[in-house]
Amino acid sequence: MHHYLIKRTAYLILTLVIASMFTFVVVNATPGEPAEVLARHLYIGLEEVAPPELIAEVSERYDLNKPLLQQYLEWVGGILHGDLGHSILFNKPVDRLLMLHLPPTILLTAVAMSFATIAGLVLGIYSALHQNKISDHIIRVGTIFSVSMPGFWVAVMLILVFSIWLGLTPVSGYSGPQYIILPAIALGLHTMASIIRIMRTSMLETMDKPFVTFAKAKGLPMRRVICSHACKNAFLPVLTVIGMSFGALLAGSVVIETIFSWPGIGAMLMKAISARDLVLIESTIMVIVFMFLIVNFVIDLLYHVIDPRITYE
Amino acid sequence: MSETGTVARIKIWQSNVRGADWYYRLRQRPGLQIVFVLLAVVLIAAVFAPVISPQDPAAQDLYGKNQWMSADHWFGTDYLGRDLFSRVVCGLQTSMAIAVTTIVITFVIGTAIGSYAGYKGGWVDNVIARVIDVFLAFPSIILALALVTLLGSGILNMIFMLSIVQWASFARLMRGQVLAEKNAEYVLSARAAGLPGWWILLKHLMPNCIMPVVVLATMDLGHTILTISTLSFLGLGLPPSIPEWGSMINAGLDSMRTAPLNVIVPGLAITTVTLLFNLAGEGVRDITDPGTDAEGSL
Repeated sequence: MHHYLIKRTAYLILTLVIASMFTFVVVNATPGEPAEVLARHLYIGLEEVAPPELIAEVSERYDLNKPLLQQYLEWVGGILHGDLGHSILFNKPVDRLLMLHLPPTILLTAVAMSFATIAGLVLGIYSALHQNKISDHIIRVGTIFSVSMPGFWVAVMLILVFSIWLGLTPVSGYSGPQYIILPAIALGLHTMASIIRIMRTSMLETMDKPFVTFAKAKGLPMRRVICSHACKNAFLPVLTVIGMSFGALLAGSVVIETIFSWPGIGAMLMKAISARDLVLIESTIMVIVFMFLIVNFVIDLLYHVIDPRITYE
Repeated sequence: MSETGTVARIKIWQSNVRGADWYYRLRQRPGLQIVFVLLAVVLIAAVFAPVISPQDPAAQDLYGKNQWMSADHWFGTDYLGRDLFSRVVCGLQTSMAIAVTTIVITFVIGTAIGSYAGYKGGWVDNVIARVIDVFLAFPSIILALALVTLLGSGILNMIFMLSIVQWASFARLMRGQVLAEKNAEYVLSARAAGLPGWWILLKHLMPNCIMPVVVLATMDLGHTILTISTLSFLGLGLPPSIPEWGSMINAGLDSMRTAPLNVIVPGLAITTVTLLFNLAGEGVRDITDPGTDAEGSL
């Protein structure tokens, strides 16, 4: 176990280092151009052409003309000291911006994940227990439809139906619990569908296992058999899906936040990309990748807690 | 030598039987046949989009903007009076061209790298596995966003970017398949017979490992269409002059109250095509791999 933990942590750090290099190279590989876009964004207007002197001055001021390796080392060195750099677009330190925008994203992701998990488990179990009945078919058709719909279109449709036609929910913003309903549903729908499918399959498999037959034969009420014997054992594959979906939710939040004007890091990342605020782009992407990797790391370890039969190599 | 020949022949014979088997299973499933026929229709429509679309997708008619469905405009008109049906058909061509090219590229690259790593083993495999991990550590849209900053917009850039985003999942799957198969007896006997590695990989391992990757490719076509539309919805990846479903939805947002068709129609198009690919992928999985639980699918 200890050996595994050390090895897993080493892999985590290695992956982070390579990911940081990759992000940096990808974001920075266009010399000159970021300074040009930035110059237009900051000083003149997006439609106009930036004069060369201005571009030169901008790249001088924001260290865009230093060698890439030096820029990279300064950036990583800064991160290791807890300094994520300075956003040119907002003229604020990146860590302050993250402090401001991370909580809304985490809130949205958490609500979407809870919605997806609870609805997914309930519907998945229900579907498995009513295998091949009408309700099972409806749920299954629903899930395959929801994985085929793009998240942003679901968001637009939800706004159209619930905000514009029915007037039930606010269109966009962030000032009360009713504002989170639509974004959370739009964000969590795909994950919910995957959880339904995996829980249904897993549940069907588990219900065939000898220990469930034994529990039934013992005369336990069906509720007990399902809740405390079958579900617990069927849950493990769902955990994997939850871990994998976390990344999808963070990524999806970029789109959903933009649509609903939700003040999270996703919407911030979009602004940073259109203004070519390189430091902000890199640091935000690294934060997202970091969170994704950590969640999967924790889930890997959770397997053992949930199912002590699983040992690590 | 003759023994290897026999083993190889048995293997070929088995794979033929397996082939016959999935043909048989396909014939058992009318639903799946319908999905394949519809997919063929969609592909043909994509190829002949300029011929099919009844009107010029770029022709504006400011007096007839935001119309509801009619005989002239089957799906209504958009905020500039352009025929929505024609625009949806042209958007189909854009999406399919990008998605199919991307999947062909990622399929070839991913399968090659994955099978090489899995078969070779040792430090080569270790390095490649790490690289795959790094690519999979990025949520796909996030990686695509980072690459958009680098590449800018355009169809070729879009294909290049999506290929970078997706090759890793193909490589990982193929590597796993090869790892699972490479100590099977038919491979060992082929090696004992002194066959070259590339031959074993291509002729012996490939036919036994490829099917799950084909399934992944089919499903990924749908996934790629979703990614393309998401990126162009965000205004990234494709120049605004190319009709694309995502950017159509984005452009329709402002007139959504009065002309909901602007956002409904392209979204339904995305959903339909993605749905077809998902159903086809699941169908192919069920008929080629009898081991999985196939009940209830089409």
